[in-house]
Amino acid sequence: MLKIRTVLTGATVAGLLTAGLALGAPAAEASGPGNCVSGDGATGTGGDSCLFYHQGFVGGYFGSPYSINYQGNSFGGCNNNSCDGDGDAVRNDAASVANFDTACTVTVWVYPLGTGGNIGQSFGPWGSGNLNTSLRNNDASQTWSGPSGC
Amino acid sequence: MLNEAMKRSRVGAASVAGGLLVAGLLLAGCAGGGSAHLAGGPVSTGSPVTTVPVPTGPNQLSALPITHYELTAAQQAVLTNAEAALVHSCMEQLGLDYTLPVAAPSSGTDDLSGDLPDNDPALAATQGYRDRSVAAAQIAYEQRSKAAAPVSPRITTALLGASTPWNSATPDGGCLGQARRTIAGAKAADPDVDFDTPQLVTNIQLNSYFAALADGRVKDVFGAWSACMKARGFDYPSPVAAVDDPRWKALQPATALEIRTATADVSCKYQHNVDGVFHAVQVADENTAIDANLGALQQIRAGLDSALATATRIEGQPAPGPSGGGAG
Repeated sequence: MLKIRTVLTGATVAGLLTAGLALGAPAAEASGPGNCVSGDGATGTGGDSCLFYHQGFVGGYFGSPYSINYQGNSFGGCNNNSCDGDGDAVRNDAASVANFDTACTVTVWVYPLGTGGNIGQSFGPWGSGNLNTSLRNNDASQTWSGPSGC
Repeated sequence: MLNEAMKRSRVGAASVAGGLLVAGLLLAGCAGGGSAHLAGGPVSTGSPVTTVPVPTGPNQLSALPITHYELTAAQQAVLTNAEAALVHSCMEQLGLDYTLPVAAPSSGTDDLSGDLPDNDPALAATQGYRDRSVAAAQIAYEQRSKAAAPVSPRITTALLGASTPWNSATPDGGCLGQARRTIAGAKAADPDVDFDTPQLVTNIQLNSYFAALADGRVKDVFGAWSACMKARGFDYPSPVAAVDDPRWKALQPATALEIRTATADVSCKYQHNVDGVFHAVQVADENTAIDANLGALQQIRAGLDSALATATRIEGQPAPGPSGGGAG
């Protein structure tokens, strides 16, 4: 599970704001797939949902502004001095989530997209948290809700 | 949090009320034959169940008790509208024209019952396990171009200050952080909580859901369901395994096999009252957890109510400028 890549400076949150404002200090480019970019989904910019391998936004991360199944996607990069999870599958392996969208709510679901009676955990606009212990390592998909355009 | 696709008008609740059984045992009945037998007893592992509903269709089960401690979609809209009003005023004072998008009023009603997947015969017969209309919207979203017009750096800085999603309501959280602190009130330990589902509430809801999946009484009806499916030519240990079959592709039309499987699944669920038993066990588990955390939950509810009252008062009112140093 543990693959060490070059740990980028300090808290290298890949959370680069669209505007160029780096979150958590030095604006280093993370090595993983998809930086966690902020934005306002309702106006077309689309902030990311950023999933992290560990609780507390630590380790490899994966960001996407879309409604997707996690199947086939992998964590990459390093955050908070940890590259744990780098290269591991996102599905059933995430522990915390930060919503970099300032207008849309993201929900992480147990079942794939389009499944009726799905159950999941929501993170409001510009919100974050650890995945519930039952949902941790049990994540299948994410969708967005909120204003038109989300 | 339950699936948006399941948030629809709740009908038929009255018919369920008539189907409630008051018993210490669980119903694993044969609805089609009009008879029922009781199961449970020694395999029961969770909280005591006193009432088992017998739904005859989707969206008939009552709201789960934990939902009392979270905001409805309409209440969330009150908070976000007030937040947007405060943010707009704050940004205006900085010479910026920016309006935080807010959700349109919801036309439906939240479904808070925590149903198992695949309990709608009509959907199963036409789309199998995945709602293709939801998937179609998701395809459209996937195909849109991203970041055609990024928010300007000035606006981003004024809006968010130096915050991140995990410390947004701090004094240097820009206009958004200030708006959240105003709405949550000075006493709020974590103003962000009002704009999200509190972790304790999420924990109780999800843990009860998964505890119910592992409960002996639920496993009993899963076993009956599995045998029912087997008799129809489908081999799954539980409804959860069936719905998560990797052969079902939400972004492709449903295959005949998926439709046949989902149709048999729904039929077997109602035949053995799988949803009713699962719901009853979830309710019992949630009530136990609520009792154990009542003080904290009451604090959460009081905080939400206070934020709602504040949001109702301030919506549309002018707001002071940003107090933190991060904006501008």
